[in-house]
Order: sequence, then structure tokens, then C-alpha cells
Amino acid sequence: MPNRRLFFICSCFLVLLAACEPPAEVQLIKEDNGVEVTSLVLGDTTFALSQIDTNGVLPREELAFSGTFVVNNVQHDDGQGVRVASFARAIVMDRNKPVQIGDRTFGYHGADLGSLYLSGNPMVRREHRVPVSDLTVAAGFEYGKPEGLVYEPSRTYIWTADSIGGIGVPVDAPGLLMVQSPIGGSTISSDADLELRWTSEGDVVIVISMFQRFAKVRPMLQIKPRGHGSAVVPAKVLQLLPRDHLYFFTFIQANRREVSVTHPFLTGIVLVQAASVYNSVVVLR
Amino acid sequence: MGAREVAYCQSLVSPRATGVAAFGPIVSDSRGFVANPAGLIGIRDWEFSAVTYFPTGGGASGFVFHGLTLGKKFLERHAVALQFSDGTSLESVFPGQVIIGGQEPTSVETRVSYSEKISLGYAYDASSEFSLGAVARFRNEKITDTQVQFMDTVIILPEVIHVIDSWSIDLGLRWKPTSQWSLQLVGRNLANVDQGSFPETFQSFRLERGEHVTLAAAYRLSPSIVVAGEGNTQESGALGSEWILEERYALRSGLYLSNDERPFVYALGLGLGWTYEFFDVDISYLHFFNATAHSGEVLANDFNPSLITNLDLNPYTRARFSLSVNARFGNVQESLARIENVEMYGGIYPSSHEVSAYRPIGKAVVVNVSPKPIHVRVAFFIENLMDAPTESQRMFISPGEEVEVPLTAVFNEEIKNVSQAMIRDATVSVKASPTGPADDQYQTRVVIHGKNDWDGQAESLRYFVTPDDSAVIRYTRSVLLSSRDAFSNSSTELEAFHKAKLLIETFVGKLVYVNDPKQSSDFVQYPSETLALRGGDCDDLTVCFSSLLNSVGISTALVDVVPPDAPEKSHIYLLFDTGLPPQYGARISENPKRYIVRRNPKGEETIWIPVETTVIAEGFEKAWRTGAEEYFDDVEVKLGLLKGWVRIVDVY
Repeated sequence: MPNRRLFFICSCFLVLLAACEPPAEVQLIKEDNGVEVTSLVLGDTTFALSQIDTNGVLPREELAFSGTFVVNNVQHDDGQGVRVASFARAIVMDRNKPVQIGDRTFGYHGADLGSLYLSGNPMVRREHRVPVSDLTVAAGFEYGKPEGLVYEPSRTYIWTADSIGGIGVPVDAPGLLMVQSPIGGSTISSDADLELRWTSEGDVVIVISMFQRFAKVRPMLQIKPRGHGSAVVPAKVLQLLPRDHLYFFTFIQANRREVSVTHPFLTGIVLVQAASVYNSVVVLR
Repeated sequence: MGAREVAYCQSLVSPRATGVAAFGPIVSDSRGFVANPAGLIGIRDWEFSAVTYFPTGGGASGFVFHGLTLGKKFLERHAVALQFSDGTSLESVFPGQVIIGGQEPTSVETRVSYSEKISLGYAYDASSEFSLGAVARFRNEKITDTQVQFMDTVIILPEVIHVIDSWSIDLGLRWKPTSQWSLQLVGRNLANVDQGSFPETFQSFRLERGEHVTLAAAYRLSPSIVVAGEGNTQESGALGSEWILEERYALRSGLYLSNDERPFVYALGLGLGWTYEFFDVDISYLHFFNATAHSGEVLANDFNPSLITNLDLNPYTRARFSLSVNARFGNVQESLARIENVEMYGGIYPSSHEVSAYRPIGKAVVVNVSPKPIHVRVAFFIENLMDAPTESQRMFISPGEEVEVPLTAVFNEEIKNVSQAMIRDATVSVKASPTGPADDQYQTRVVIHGKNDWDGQAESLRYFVTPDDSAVIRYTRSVLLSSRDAFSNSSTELEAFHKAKLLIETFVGKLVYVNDPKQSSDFVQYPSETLALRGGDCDDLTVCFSSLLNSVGISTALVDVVPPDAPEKSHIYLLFDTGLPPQYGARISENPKRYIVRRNPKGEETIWIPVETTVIAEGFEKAWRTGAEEYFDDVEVKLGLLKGWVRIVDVY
């Protein structure tokens, strides 16, 4: 009998040792492709950054490049109808000329590029003003939209500037971007998933920004859909955003190039972009 | 999602259960006892089993430890079991539909897990027909939800865990109205105790636990085949069968039915079993007809906890092979037969103990409590008075039937030393297997009479006749030698008559006393004692004379007379065979009424002489004449032999 019991005990051990796998879980498959969410909240920076809702360039990108050359089609839906505008801006920041008060840096001087042309149209040279507290300080130059410029989808835009040796940077303008959800002027709930729907020719990035005083927007989240045309933002992501605020859902479809520039005032990489930007202004409850 | 109760009609923590499908009514030990806790009463003593399974289909990884079960029967009618089933669980993960850029971990997922790892069972055997059971199941429902929060400028992913622990009580009843039928009624979730809660967002993931009922029945088609079916108020059920081959192998098959599944007959269970003494090995395969639905993958939007009616068997269960080993310890033999009652016909008389070897001294009522036909032997044993138990003939008993088995006993010589009546314990045991231990034992008490005790029956009296006793032989040789010359002159035909007359008269001449037979009607001296004491009553002398004559080759018989109108005048006297053919009767006596013609043990008709020992003290002639008169009166006149109140018992 002892041998038989030993046999049994050994058998049991064999069974148990063989059974080392955990129970398989039920694989639940999501039909949508999900989204990638990235925090855009910056630390306590004093840098003056352009507005994402028009520029279409994220603040951290703007900080990473020596300069930005952009031309955008901007649509704005705040529930009062969709307004369309063309936007162009060029600036090269001279990193050797910071705008400082004490040990705090508020920005850099904008380099004087002389005459800058966007597809042959002279861009409007104007003062580059760096916000310091509630004031602004003139610090060099930046360039604005040429008079009468209207964004044309599918056009190849090129910037040229004699002063820096004829920088020729072409970029193709993407087609117009249309957004079906969320529609401007709507109120959305952070207790429910939010479906995003749009129509575009290529990939888009959605930036959710909180509207602040002085008509400024503060980028909070960047959403990169892993599919085309639609995506779902889970409620638990929306719940990252403070409620009862006005938010800009900025859809950006951009063609970009990074160009290396060497100039007495400028040595570095500039970002060249043509983009279609669509802003839906909503209230989050 | 509509609420729906959790129905534990089927436990997959047993390949036997998986194979049979409709397992509830045939639970017979700790294997799969959750299906019907009342079946726990079938445990013999200790039981221990371990189960593993191998999921097949998509995502199969390897053997999964399913569970351990420990069972124990105690106080004959009670049984308990503990089941730890680590594999009775279901976990589903809502995949990370959100990826947090630039940091690890990046997936924002929700993990929903259910487990029922501990089950405690108890059963009570209320009667041979009814058994009751209860099982308490401990369930854990857990949701691990990844949160999304800002910490300064970055997103962090803390986990929030919501847990509900609960105990649910089921009660079961098993009724076996006949040996063929077994009926089951099980009430589920009759009592529930919860601890914890889910937030409103996750309420739909909670498993409800409303009461419901399972009804099931099993019918034994033959001793080796049983079929079963069950259904419950959850609109699901099962059909199954088990076929036992050579009492060692089992083939099982079953079908699973549910209104929640498509097709309605949605799964097939197949099983094999092998039993070796105290050890069982079971394997099973659970196959789903809709393999796609049971692939272990489902669209997240289609995942519906309300359809999870059983953590082992639900729409998300995958096909699997299962393997278990089960062992029984302690008093592990399965009892096939039970002794219902033992009846002893009376005491044992040492004088006639040899008769007990073939004439029943009692009977045992034996029941086949197994589901198969059996052959039994019943053994009777009294310690010290027997060298070994005496077994009965092999008796066949159908399942559930009972038979009366006659008890016999072969005693050793010790029984002849019992001087006074006493009571001894006797053990009656029954065995359905020639090599195994007894299936059941029964203790009874037996009166062992003193060696001189007599039951008053003439048939019994002859067992006091001991012609081979050395004292008897010595006496007869002595008498015959001393009268050798007298025999030399007598005729050969009358030699037996003269020898008998000589032996009787010689002994009568030495008699010291003759007792009144009424004083010792149940006490008979052995011839050696009578010879030594030179006295006794008529029974003693009859026995003694019979012994003396037998020792010299003269056949004797006892005439037992019980007058119907005066039974108190019952008495016994002696006949001895002269060996003389009837035609020579005149040589014995001119009066034919003085002798009797009857067949001797050789089948020859010879002349027999009656001797009434109550008057032997007055001499052989007187005893002969008296005996002849009594015989003529009782047999020839009153026809006592024909009417049955006179019997002649041949001694040898």
C-alpha cells in the first residue's frame, strides 16, 4: 500500500507541475483602432508661443526648431458658423539674442531676413513682440501673410529670401479638412466617450486646448488617431480636462519639411509647413 | 444588459462531470460535487483529487492547474469536502484603446476578472433513499481599472481596483426511490452574503445571483449503463451517460443544451475513466459545435457578463482536454453488499456441532447496495471455537435486491470442552470480491450450550453416541473377551443377538443407579461418562447401549415416541439389529411380536430387537419384552409410525 500511495502522490505532483500556466483570459477585441494621447502641458515657461489654433505648430515643436515657416488654411467653428481664413507666418529666432529680465528668458529676437517672399508674394515684415508679463517688448522681426493671400489646397508653396542666400523651401498644401464631430458650439460630457469624425486626405492630429483669458489657448492634449476618419476619446481621457471650460478641438492636417539653414544670424533647422487647420470650439461639462 | 442569475449546474472541475454533462444525479463522491452536494455522501472515507486542463483553439498555452478537492466521510452519515479551484475563473481585458505617448506603461485598459476558487460542501445521509447536501461557494469579482491622471505636466496611469467578495449557498436533495432511479433537486443561490461593490460605471459587470432550481434524473438501464438528464430554470440543461466496463473502465458522453447558445445543443462532452483499486484517472474532452464563438476571443462590444452563468462553462469557455487523478484513502473499498439482519435459529449444541457444518444454524439477509449484480459469500465465525470463518455458497444478487444466506459453521474440538451454556460473540461478514476485504460485517450473539446439553430431539441424541470412544471400545473388548468361550458354542446367525444381550446385561449388572428421566431431560451423558459413573437416566443408557453395540458392529436405532394425546409421555428406546434374516425369526423368538423386521443400513431386511431402557435394571428380557410391547402397541396397533408420532432414527 505505501508504494501505491507514493505512486499516487507522485502522479499528483506531475499533474500539478505540468499545470503551470495561468487560466487564459478572454481576449476582447476593439473594433476601433484607438488613439495615442500625449500631454502637451508645459511647465512654467515664460516663452511666448504662437497660438496652436492658427499656427498649427505645437509649442514644443516651436521651441525645438530655430524657426517656422507656415502657411495654413484655418477654419473656425464656434457654433456661429464656420469662418475660414488663410494664415501665414515666418520667424527665425536668433538664439544669440535672448529677451531676458533678470535670469528669466521670455523669448528671442526675430532675425531680420530682409525681404521674404511666399510663392513670390512679399510677406509683411513686422515687429516681433515678446510678451513680458502684461506688456510686450519689441524684439526683432517676424513675417506675416502677404497681402491678399488665399490658401489654395494642393498648391506648392515656396519661401524665398534674398538676404539669406535664396532659401527655397517648397511644400505642398493639403486639401481642406472637414470635421463632423464635435461640431462647434456643442456641449460635451466628460462622463462619456467622445467620438471624433472628420474628412481628410491624410493623417490628422487633434490638439485639445483650453481657452484662457486674453483670447489665448492653452494646449492640453494631443490626440493621434490610429485610424482614418474617426476615433473615440475615452471618457477617462476627457476627465483629465477641467470641466466647465471652453475647449478648442484643433484638427491639423499638415505637410511638413525640416530644412537646415546657415546664415550669420541663423544656423539650425527650420520647420516648413502647409496645413489645413479646423477648430471646433466646445464646452466640456 | 439584462440581469441573469449565475447557474452552477455544471462543474468542469472534474473530467467525469465534463464527460457526462448531466452529472448532478450521479455525483457519487467528491468529484464535481458542486453539481449536487448531496452526492458527497458516496465518499467512502478520505478522498483527494487534482485536476488540470489544456485549453485548445486560439490562444492555447499549456496545461492549466484547475483545482484540488479533499473529501472526508465521518460518523457514517456525514461527509464534507473542500474544493480549491484556481482554474474556475474568467478574466477579460478591455484592450488599451488609449496609448499614452512617450511613457511606460502606455496602455489604458480595464481588466474584469471573476473567480470562484473555494467551495465547501456537506452532505447528510438521511436514509437509504434520501441524502441532503449544501455547498457554500466563495466568489470574487474584481475590476482593475487603469486611470489617467495628470501629475504636473505628464500623464500617469494609476490602477483602481474594485472588488466584491461573496458567499453563495446552494442546497441539494437526492432521492433514490429504486435502485434504478436517482432524482435530484438543487436550489442555487438560496442565500448570499456580499462584501464590496462596484461603482455605477461598472454595475453591468457584476454577476447576479438570483435563486433558481435544477431538476435532474438518472436511470440505470443496466447494471453497467446509466443515463441522465437535467434542466434548470435558466433554460439550460444537459444529457449524458456513463458506461462502466469490467468494473474498471468508464466511457462517458454528454450533450450540453442552452437557449443562450447557438446551436441549442452547443457542446459535446466525451470522457474516459480508469479505476485501479483506490485510484481513479479521468480524462475528458469538451467540444463546442460553434468553435468560433468559443475561440476565447470576442469583440469588446459583444462581451456580455449577463451571459456568464457559470465561470467554468459559459459563452467564453474554450474547448479543453481535462485530466484528473482521484485517490481514496482509509476505508476505501466501495461496499457492494450490506448485511441487513442476522437471525440465529437457536443455540449451538457441542454434541451435534458437526451438523452445523451443513445444517444452517441461522441466516443473514444481504442486500446488494451496488449498481451492478454481484456474487457474495457470507462467512460466520466465533473466535476460539472455530479455526477459520465458515463461508457460505456463492449467492447471486441483483442490484438493490436482497437474499437470505444460510449460515453454517465448522467448529473445532474446543467446543466439546464447553461444560456449561454460555453466550459468545459471532461475526457475520459478507464479501462480494473473493480477494478483497469484507464489504460489511455484522456482530451477533450465539448461545453455546454445554457439551451434555440436548435439545430433546431424537435426531440430536444420536450425536451423543460415540462407538469410537476409547472407553467404549475398551469396555466392549473386555466384556467380549471374557465371554469368548460362550460365543464359540453359539450359532453364527445369533452372534450379534448374543453379543448385544451380553453387553447390555453385563453393563446392567454393574449399574449403580438409574435416574428419573424427568430430572434431566435436557442433559445427556456421553457413554464414557455413563460407563465411568455406572449410572444415568434412560437417555444416557440408550446412548450408552447404542454406543456399546455400535462399537462391535451392531447397528442401532432410536425409537422416538411422542404420543399425540399425551406428549408428556414422550420417550425414546433402543432398537438393535441382530443381522438375522426374517425367515430365521423363530430362532430369536417364537413370538413375532417380540421383534421387528426392518431394513438395516445395508438395505437388507433383518430382525431388530426393541429394548426399553427405562426398565433395564430389571434385566434384558424385561427391557426387550417391554420394548416389544410398546413398539407393537404404538406402531402396529396405533399406527404411530404411519401417523408420524413415532419415528425411528438410525444411529449408524
